Amino acid sequence: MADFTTISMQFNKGNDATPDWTGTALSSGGTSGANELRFAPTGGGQTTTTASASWPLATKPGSGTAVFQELWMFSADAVGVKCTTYDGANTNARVLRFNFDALGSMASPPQVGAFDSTSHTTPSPGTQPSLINGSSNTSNRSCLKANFYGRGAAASGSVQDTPSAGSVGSAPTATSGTTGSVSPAVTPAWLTNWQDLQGFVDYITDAVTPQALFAFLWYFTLALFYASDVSASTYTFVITLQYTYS
Amino acid sequence: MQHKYVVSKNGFPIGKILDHSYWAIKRRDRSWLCEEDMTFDLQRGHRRLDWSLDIVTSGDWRKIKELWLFCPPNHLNPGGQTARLPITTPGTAFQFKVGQMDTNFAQSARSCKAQLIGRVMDSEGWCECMIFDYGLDGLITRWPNNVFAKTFGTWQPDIAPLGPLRLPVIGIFLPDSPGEGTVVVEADPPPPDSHPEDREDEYRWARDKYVG
Repeated sequence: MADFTTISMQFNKGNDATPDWTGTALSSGGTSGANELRFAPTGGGQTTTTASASWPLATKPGSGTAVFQELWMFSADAVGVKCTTYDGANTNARVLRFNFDALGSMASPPQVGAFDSTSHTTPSPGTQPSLINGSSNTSNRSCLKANFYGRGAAASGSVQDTPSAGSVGSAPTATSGTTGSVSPAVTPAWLTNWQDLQGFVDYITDAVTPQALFAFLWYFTLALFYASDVSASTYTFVITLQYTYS
Repeated sequence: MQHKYVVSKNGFPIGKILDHSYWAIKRRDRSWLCEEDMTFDLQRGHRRLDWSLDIVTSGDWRKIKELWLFCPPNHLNPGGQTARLPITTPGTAFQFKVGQMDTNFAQSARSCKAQLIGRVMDSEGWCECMIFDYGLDGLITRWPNNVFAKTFGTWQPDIAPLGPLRLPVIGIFLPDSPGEGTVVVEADPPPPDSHPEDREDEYRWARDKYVG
């Protein structure tokens, strides 16, 4: 099977009822603040022209956990757009999506996890500093929660799974997550319970191998929590999509 | 005496050491094809041979006599290891790669993590695989598995356990097969090992350890 020429991640800069994905494909690569996704709490002072080095700090809660309510995409260090449907909750369905071109054929279902860096060091639940490792306040689950919709594409028949606007499963919490892999229903549907992304310890696997040589979109959403017992630091991490091809 | 090179049908010297792994097949007429051969199609233009597009779809899978994997230089073997699988039954040879794309939170990269060749050894789907793993920087030899497994599994924690394989896509055509994703294989994966060449017989697990 062939590899894809283009796999990109897109974000919604419109609203849930009328999404706008145009020009939002985030390219791979980039340094010095380019091609970044950045989380922030509401009211931090971040704007579309805030440079990476100037990104406002988030104050840890005095106790317990909190969630980042804003997600921004920056194509260059100080050129950003807000992902308007991300709110750190399960309010909206059209938030993010992987975009696969029609040139690839997968040999098995794709999977999604998250790591502290591209080194893909196996997570150590609870070990700080790390958002992916989580902490006691997150029951040692990753602070990064995700929910995916359906299969992306069915195994055959040129069927694209596209969610309707609206809520996404049950509301995520800082302790959400299931050990191992979970798969969205082929109905298609969202996961009822959000999954934490912690390496390939806790991760998401597509329920099917999407149809070969068929362009498709796999919709997902995120919620990033932070906790009082997470070490103060500047955190960068990666979401990792794994797939097989020839 | 002049040394002769074995070349593919398109002129590539088989066995040439590259900075990446690549598959090669010896066909029953003793001709060779490999992943480094160039071809052309209207959709993609000039490109390298593709296992699914050019071996599986074309029907060349019927002609495979030997399946090879040539590995790049690594810390275990500066000359790169070579894996060879004799194929006695058409439709039992398969190949695929594992890719990962790290999506952007300040860093991103798309890379091939491993390349795997394998052969099915019986009608129940039991197979053995040779895997060049870029992270482990070495060749894993004779990793046993079952192509009909519900979860094909993994050989190291940096790679998520693979799900059921799409058999016709990767070139497996077996009559009277149990079917994709129908077999439960319960076995411990091989431990991460930076010296795969030292494990000649470690992967020859007894069949009765598996639950089918």
